Amino acid sequence: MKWLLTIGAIMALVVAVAQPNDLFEQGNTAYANEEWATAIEHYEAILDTDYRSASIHFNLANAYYQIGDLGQAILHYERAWQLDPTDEDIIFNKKLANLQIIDKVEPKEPTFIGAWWQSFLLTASTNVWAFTAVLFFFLTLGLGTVFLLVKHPFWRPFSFFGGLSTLVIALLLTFIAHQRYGVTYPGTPEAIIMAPNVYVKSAPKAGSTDLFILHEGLKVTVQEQEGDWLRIGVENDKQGWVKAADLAII
Amino acid sequence: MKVWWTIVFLSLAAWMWAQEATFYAEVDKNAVAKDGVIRLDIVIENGDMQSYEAPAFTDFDVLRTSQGQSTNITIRGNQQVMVRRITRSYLIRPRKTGQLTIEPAKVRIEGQLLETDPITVTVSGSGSNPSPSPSPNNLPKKNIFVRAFVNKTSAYVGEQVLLSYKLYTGQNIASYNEPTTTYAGFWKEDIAIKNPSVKREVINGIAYRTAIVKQVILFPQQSGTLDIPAADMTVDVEYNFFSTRRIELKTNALSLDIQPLPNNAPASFTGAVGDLSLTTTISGDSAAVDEPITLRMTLKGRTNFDLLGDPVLTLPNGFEVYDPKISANTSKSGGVLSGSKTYEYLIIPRQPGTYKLDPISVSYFDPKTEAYQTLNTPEYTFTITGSGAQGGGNVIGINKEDIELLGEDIRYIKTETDWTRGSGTILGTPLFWTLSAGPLAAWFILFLFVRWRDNREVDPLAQKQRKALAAAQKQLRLAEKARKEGDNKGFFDHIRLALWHYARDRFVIPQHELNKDTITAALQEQEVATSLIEQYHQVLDTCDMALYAPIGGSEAKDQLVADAKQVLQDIQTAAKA
Repeated sequence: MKWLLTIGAIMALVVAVAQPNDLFEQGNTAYANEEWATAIEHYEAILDTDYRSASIHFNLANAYYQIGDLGQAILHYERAWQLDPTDEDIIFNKKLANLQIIDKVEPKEPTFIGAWWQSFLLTASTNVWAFTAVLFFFLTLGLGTVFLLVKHPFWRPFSFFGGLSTLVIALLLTFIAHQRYGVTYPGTPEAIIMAPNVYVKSAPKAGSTDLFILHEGLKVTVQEQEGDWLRIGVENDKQGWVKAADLAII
Repeated sequence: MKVWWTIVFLSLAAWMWAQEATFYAEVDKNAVAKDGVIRLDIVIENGDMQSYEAPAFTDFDVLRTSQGQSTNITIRGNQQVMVRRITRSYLIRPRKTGQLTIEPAKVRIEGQLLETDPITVTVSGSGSNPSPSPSPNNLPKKNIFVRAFVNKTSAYVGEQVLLSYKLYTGQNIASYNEPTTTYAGFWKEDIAIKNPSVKREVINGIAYRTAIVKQVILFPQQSGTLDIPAADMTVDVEYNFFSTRRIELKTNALSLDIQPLPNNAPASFTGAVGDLSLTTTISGDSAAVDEPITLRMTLKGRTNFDLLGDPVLTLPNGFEVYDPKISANTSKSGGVLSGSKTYEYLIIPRQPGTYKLDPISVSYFDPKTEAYQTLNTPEYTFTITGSGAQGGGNVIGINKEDIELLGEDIRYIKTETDWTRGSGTILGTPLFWTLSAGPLAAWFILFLFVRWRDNREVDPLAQKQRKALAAAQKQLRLAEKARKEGDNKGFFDHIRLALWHYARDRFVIPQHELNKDTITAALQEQEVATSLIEQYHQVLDTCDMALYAPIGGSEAKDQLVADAKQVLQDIQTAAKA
């Protein structure tokens, strides 16, 4: 009975403390004092709630990097990058961490147009694009209303062509918002290898042939699931099966 | 003590006598003049003769026969061997010239029938018997010769073949030089023979001392018919007590049929032909990062290790291996090149994890089974603990800019944050759908309404009909206004107009036909109750009369407005259309 009370008290304390900002501050303090494990504990406690931010993943990744857990570090850099793909600190640390991994997979070089399009998409977040689209939908509504109700020789054609343009722009912005979302959250999910090394098998069975070996921290695409096994692909078109437990989906 | 010695002696004696019986014939020469005499010895060694049959001597006359018995102790190898020899000697003379044959003698020893080899004798026609004493100019070269022979005449490429040179001599040899020739198409390994072991051999009735003077292990390097040309050899023969004579000899030439190896060689075949075995040992299956693991692999067998390519050790990423320490030892005993080769690999793990070492494969061609055989090391699994070097030895394929980056530390944490909850994006949420599709839907509804309204406004009469009650009520409000302003006439006029115009608009009666009868008719047509029609006319009459005989009290006026409102409302409800 006594221990129940104790647990209750601790729980109450945790709930009281579990405000994300407090945990964030405590994690930052621990990090500043180079108490990496404590910092990780605090940051992970935030992630147990549904609060998310680029900073929290970035700080957690830094802490994991400091203790040498490359897999977790890269996983959280990737998650931080998803939330804020233009932040230079995130890009820098993510690149630095990726230099530590053993497997060197040459990323596919994007075309000039592709690179330009991607940087254009990244000029704003998905929500900014989406809300701009919403704004244009309302503009369409406004101009459309003018068109329907005002029978003025200037306002009628103005509102007609204006409304049509805003509608096209709104639809285009919706498309852009979806494209922008696809940059950070690709259609095929991606995962990071968490085990120090994994043997990639030719079939989802323990006894099947080893095709090749991958090491901690490498980003792979997840194409299929079969029981405990995931079919993964590496950037240079190699494919194979690994145990789901050895990966973490970004 | 005495008994013990006797046993030793007896057993020794028994062992020494345990020799196989041999039976042979030999002549002192096998080329004579027509009237020459040949001495033929028929010898039985170590055997008890049960029956004896002398040669037939078809072409010879037997001049004399004698028999002798002797027991010799000879040293063979490092053993003393007793030889008991029974000799029957015949002095024979050929009856004619040409190639004559001394037929075999037969003997039965311990139930076994033995025969001597037939001996061919060349009898020349000239009358003079050659001088038995050799002279320097006329050295009997014929009782010394050298022969080359191989242990197999057909072999695969790479298969070892033993080539031996055997010297046959009936004279004392002071010294000799080894036979020399060229071995085109072969890889050769000479076998050094320091002390040739001398044996006794009888060829065509003449006993020779023989010795293998040279042996070469040959490895054919190409297929087809490979020739070994005749080898030259010089022998110094004791001529007399003080001097020697040099004799030049030539061996026979040889020819070998070499077959190519089959085409289906496995990838791990590096040229070994013969037989091989493989053993591997490993220093441990777990280690810390940077702690070396030793893998020792030993190949053993009968093959040419010099021609053998080194096996390939493929290591997973995260390991370094130095060039192996190779030690080999070979032996040529028994005329076969055999040996072992040990590879010692020092493997240094650089990254933690669990790794499998792919089996190392070594293949060889086995000429006996005429097939390739593959040997595999076991599959070793290493568990490496510790943490890998940051950006350690495996930085391959990164550019200069990246190397500079490696020296840098990560950037410091962020102290500011703003929070999102849930998935963080509004795309695909009901909110986004509402906000984007909502305005479009709203506009569409507005569009439908406006179109509906416009359709109705096309007919002004219908429009008036719809608004009849509202227009009448407006007139009534104007009446109230006039009353407040003290405009008595206006008050009644507005009420009258309200009633008249309502009927005109509501029942679509043209202005010029508008009178009390048409209104009554219209109301009746609309099946409005007669009492209501009367009420309607009554309100109108009150107004008409009031223009001339004003009704005084405000109560009456209130009543009038209320009645007008009521009657219009009732008609609106009661009317069909």
